[in-house]
Amino acid sequence: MTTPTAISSAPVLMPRSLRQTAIAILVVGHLLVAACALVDLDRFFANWLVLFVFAATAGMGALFLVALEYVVNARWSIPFRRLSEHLAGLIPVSLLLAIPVFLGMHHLYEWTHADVVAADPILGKKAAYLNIPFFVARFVLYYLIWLLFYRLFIRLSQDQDRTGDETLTWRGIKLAPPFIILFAFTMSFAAIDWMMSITPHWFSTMFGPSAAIGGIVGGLALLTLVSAQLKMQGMLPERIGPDHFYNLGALLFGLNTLWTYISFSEFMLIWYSNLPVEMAWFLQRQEHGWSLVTLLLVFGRFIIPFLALLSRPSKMNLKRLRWVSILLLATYGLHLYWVVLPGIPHLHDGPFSWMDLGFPLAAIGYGLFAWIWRSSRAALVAARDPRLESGLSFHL
Amino acid sequence: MSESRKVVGAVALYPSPDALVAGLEEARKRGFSRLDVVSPYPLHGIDHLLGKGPSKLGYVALVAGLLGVTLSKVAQWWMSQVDYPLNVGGKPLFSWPAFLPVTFELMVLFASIATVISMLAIFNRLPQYGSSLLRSPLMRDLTCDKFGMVVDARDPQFTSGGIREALGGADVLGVDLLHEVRPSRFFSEQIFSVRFLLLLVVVSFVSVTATRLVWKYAGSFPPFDFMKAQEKLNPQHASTLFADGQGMRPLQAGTVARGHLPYRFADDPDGAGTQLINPIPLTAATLERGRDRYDTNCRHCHGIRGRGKGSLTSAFPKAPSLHGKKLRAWTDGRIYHVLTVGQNAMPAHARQIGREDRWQTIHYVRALQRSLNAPDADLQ
Repeated sequence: MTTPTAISSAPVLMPRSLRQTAIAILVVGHLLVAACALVDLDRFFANWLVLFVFAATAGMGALFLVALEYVVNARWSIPFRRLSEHLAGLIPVSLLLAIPVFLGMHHLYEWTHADVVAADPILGKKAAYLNIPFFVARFVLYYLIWLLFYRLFIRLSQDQDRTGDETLTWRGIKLAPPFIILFAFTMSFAAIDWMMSITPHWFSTMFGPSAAIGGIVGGLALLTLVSAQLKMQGMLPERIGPDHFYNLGALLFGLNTLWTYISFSEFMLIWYSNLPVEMAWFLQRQEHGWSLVTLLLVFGRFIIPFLALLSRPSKMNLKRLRWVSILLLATYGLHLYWVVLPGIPHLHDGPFSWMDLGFPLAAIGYGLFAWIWRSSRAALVAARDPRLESGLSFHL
Repeated sequence: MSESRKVVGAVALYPSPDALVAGLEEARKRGFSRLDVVSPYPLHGIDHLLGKGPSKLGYVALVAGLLGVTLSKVAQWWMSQVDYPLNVGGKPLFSWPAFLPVTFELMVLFASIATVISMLAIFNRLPQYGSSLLRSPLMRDLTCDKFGMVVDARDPQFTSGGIREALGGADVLGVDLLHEVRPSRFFSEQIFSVRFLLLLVVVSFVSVTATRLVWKYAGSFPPFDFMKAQEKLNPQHASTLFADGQGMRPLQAGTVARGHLPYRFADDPDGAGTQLINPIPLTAATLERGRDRYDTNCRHCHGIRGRGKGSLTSAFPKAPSLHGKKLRAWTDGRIYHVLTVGQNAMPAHARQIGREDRWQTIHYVRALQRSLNAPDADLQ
């Protein structure tokens, strides 16, 4: 047994080159985004909605992982918790990203047009829920809840870095259950508000759970990517070993399979009953080349990651974890793209255009920005967590 | 435990997994190679320390899982495309997404069952009726909260005298030699003993009686009867809804059930012969249907060719041939009358053969008659 080396609670500054890369990517990304906005405003708002939802849900997924650790009293994830907390920094960043969504509501949401609602009896009945003031009020409510818990979780962890107070861990354990319940509700309703209401006639009860678990998979893929990369660069403690990464990989594997199970169930029930009002949504995604995106998702979001993480050694292989999590992040973005774009009339004509290229770049840029910002505030490991030693000495 | 029996190995007891790992490393340093570990719970990564490669069990699970996927898909294809084609909402007969959950569950089921069985049968070499380790006094601790390292006596470094020395260390709680176990007499002494066989008889008697009693008294209480006990009118049941207290309504005068037109010529065979005309056109399909009905309802008495040589002729009064002059002269309507109300020993067949089927059977009877008494014109 090796003697534990002292782990510093001082923040590790990211190398200058990373900051320069982030700035370069953000600039190039935003130039392309601006070009898209000049050519096709609908496309700009739709893509921006994808970017916003990606950042918000992945950030919430990361915060969920923090709460999950408290709730189940997990040992193995304690050395990774601070990384999740850093990644949850995407939540405040996503609040900034929401501004264009509000500016583009008329481009995105059919139900914001009074004349359309007046002519459509179904939308007329849904107007009690789908109206701009209530939409904004719900948005504010989600973010109040999310930012409150984000602040509470981050603060108790960073306070512990200074004081080493054990009662702070207990506070986390008490905070986590209400957060998880609110997480389930707010994520479901947020998904309904932001994405399902693009096609306001359509409804699916699986949409919320699918979006919430998709967000968790996104946050977990970010965590896996970041931790594997940091481990390879030697920036994580020596004692975080294959057993820790095995658990990370197994959780990613399991949650991604769960997401697939739920999404497939949604599809299968709708396909089986074959009702026009429900089937229309999936038909939209099977024509004009969108079936190609559907196939890409089937392979990229399930079959390839499933096979790549199936065996036990592959869940400990850092390089494989890294590329699988990159693939999962890319296909999570692609999935949101597939959910949002076909619902908007003239974007339905076909997937992929040069105008979409800036948005993944911008997403990477904002992700790096959030990471650099958060990691400059606190260490990469919660050094004075009383359970850290038991987490580091975790073995399968 | 007599010390005279052959020594097959030794076991050393450790208080914790870490002590076990240290002991294991120490033993391997000393050159021991035939080592094994006994632990109350799985110690992941210990096979690496034992010098064994990764377990092959994963491949068993993979192959069995793929087998489960393949078998379930083939079964679903065969059931829904070949054996019992059923149109569900206009979908293709074999729609692969429909039963994907079943496929997934069968994959998991096959993989898990195959994994458990092959783990026990192949990798753990069970069943074994005895193990020298089980006779060791240290086994009690090994199944509770201690960890053991077993050295095989076939190890070149193993000596009965020196092994206690070799395995002893600061953390070791105890070392015990393992002795050969006599071949089991489990079957001869226990399974076929009178006591055990008597016990089997008693157990079967009690379980049969208990099952019978449960079926008789508890079986008549269905756990859920809300499908059966519905608020509706049931035939042959009382009802408070109507004044006469019956659930069934009396039929209006003159009501005729579909396909059950009354037969007007019950006592008038000649009337039937002159007034009834076969309404079924003579086609290959109606003839085929007639043959089917004939083979089902007539053949056992009248014979396959209608010559009165059926398989029941010894048990029942002999049925006449259908090729007699009288029968050939009869109209379709006259034959229909016999089919409908019966004649002599032949009972009425109106209940067995539907109205249209009777007419089609007559087409077939005509074909039979023509086959034996073909007019010359047919032969040209």
